[in-house]
Amino acid sequence: MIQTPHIPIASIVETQNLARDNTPAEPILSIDHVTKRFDGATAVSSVCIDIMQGEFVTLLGPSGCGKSTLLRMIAGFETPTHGRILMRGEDMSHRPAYDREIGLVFQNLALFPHMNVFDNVAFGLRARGRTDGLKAKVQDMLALVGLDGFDDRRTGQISGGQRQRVALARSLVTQPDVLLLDEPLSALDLKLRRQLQTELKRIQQETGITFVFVTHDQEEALSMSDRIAVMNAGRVEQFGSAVDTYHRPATEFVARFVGETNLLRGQVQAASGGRVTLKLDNVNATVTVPAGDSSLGLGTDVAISIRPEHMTLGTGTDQPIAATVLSHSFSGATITYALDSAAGRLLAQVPFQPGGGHPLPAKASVSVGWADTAVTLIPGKPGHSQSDMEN
Amino acid sequence: MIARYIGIAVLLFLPMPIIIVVLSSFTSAGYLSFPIKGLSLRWYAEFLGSADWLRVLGTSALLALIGAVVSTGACFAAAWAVVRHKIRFGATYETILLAPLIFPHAAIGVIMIVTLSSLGWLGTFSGLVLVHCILTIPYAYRPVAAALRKSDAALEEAAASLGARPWRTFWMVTLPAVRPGLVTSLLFTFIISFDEVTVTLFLVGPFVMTLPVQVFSEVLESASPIIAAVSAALVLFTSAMVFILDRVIGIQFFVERD
Repeated sequence: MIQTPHIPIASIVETQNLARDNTPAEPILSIDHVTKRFDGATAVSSVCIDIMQGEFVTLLGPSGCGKSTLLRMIAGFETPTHGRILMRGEDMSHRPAYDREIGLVFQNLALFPHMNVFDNVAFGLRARGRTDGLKAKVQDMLALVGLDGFDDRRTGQISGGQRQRVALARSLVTQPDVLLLDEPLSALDLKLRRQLQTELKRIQQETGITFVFVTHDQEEALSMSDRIAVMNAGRVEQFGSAVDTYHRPATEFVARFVGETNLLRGQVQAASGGRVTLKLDNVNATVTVPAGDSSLGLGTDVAISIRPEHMTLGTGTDQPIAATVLSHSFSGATITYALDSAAGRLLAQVPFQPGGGHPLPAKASVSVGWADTAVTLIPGKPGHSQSDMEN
Repeated sequence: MIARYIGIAVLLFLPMPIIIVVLSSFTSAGYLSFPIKGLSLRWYAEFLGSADWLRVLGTSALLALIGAVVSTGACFAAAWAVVRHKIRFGATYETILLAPLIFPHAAIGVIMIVTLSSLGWLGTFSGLVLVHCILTIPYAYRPVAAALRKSDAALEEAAASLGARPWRTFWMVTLPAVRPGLVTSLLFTFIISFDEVTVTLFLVGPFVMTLPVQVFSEVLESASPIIAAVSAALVLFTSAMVFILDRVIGIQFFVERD
C-alpha cells in the first residue's frame, strides 16, 4: 500500500525533493523501539513503525493511548526514554525540534495571533533563512490551500476552516520531510470536516510530502490513510493498510475500536487444511473458519470477529446461532438489527430490499450466520483484558 | 433612588481631595489655604526653579525607572519558570512573590533598616532600589504571569517546528504575545515606586531623598503652597501614565482574572 509520490505541482516542491526518492527501500521515518515514561507511567511502550516517503500514515487510538506523545517525540518536543527516532537512517532522537525537517499542524492550530496570514506562512522560510523568492513561495502555497488574496487578513478575522488552511500552508511551505498533524480537524463541524479531509488528501498527493496524521476518529483514519497504526495503552496493536485494519483486525482491540463488530469467543477443537473448527462459548454450536496465518493448538482460546454487514439473517435453523430481534434501525440502504443470543448482543446489518416487506419485528426468532471469507480469527491472549477500553 | 444619590455623592467625593490640591496649588497667597485667595502660577515657578526639588524629582524618576525595569525583568524570569516550566513548588514561589503586598509596610521599613545597615546601604540610592524592587515585585508578577498564562505554549512549539531557534522564537513569538503584560508591569511598577512613601520614609537620609518623602517632610515643617504644586504635578504625571496605559492596553487588562 505504498503510495508512489505524485509529481508535485510546479514550484511548490523543489526537484531535489524528488531526487531523494530514489532509495525507496529506506524508510523516511523509523520509530525504533521507542518508549516514553513520565514519572513512572509509561505513555509509549516499545513502538516500532517504519514510514515510507510519500505515505499517508495515521496513528489511530482512543485518548490517552500515547499517539500524541509519539507525535511529540517525532516533532522533537519530547525525548524518548528508550529507543531511537531515525530519519533517512539518521538518529534524530536528541536533535532539537528546530533542527528537524518536520512540520507540525497543532490541534489548536497555534497560529501567531500578532501576524497576518502572509507573515504566518512566511515564518518558517524566514526562520530557516530561505528568503529567496519568499513572496512567490508563500503565495503559491496560499493558492494550493485555496486562500489566494488572504495575505493581509488577521488570523482572528477568518473562519475556522480558513485558519486550518493557514496552519497547513504554514507548515508545508518549508517542504518538511514529514508533516505531522495532531487531530487538526477535531474542532470543526462534520460537513467542513469531510470537506477538509478530502482536501488534505489532495494536498498530500500533490505535494508528495509524507503525512503522519493523529486521530481518534476511525472513519477519518479509514478514509484518508495509506496505512494505519492502531494504538492502545502505549502500544501499536496493528500497523497495516486501511483495508487490513478493518477486514483483518489483528487483535480484539482493533476489531472493536475500528468500526462495529461481533466478537464470538470459543476454543479450537480441530485444525486441518488451513481451517479450524471452534466450539463457541455459551452456544451449542461448532463453526469452521479459515485459519489465516495463525497456527493454533487444540483447546486454545480464540475469538472470531465478524462485521455487522457480513452477518446473514435467516429464519430457519440452517445457520449456527439462534437469536431474537431486540430492535432495528433503518438507514435507507440498510437495516441494522440488534439481536440477543446466547453468545451475547449481536449486530447485523442487512441490505434493505425495496418491496421486500417490513423489517423484522422485535422478539422475532432468527438464525445468524456469516460468509466464510468475512471471518477474522483472533488468537486470544490470556490476561490481555480489553475491559479498560470498554468503559 | 436614594442609592443612586449616594452613588453620585460618592463619585463626587472620591476625586475631591485631588481637586482641592490642584486648585490650591494655583493660589497667590504665601500659605496653604482653600478656597484660594488669588490666581497665580508662582508656586509652579518656584517648584521648577528649585534645584533641590528638581534633584529629588530626578532621584524619584530614576529610582522608579530602575525599579520598574528590574522588577519586570525578574518577574518575567520567575513567571517563565512557574508558568512555562511548571517548576516544583511553583505555587509557593508565587505566594512568596506576592507577600510584600500583605506585609505591613511599617514592618518592612524596620526590617529594611536592619538589612540595609548590615549591607552598608542605609541612606543610599542602591538601598532604595533594592527596597523598591521588593515592593513592586507583586505588582509586576501578576500582569506578567497572567500574560504568559494567556499566551499559548504551543505558539513557541510551532515556531520551533518551523525552524526558529530559541532566541528567534523568544523575540518573534513569546515577547509579542506577552507585551501587554510587560507594558502594564513597567508602567504600574513605575507608578508604585514613584509614589511610595511609607517604607522609603525609613530609609532616606541626608544624601538621598525621593519626591513624595520630600513632600511629606515639607508638610511637617511648613505649609508652603509649593507642596500643592508638587502634588498637582504628581497627580498630573500619574494620570498621564494611567491614560497611556488605557490607550495602549486598556484598563480591562487589570480587571480580568488570570
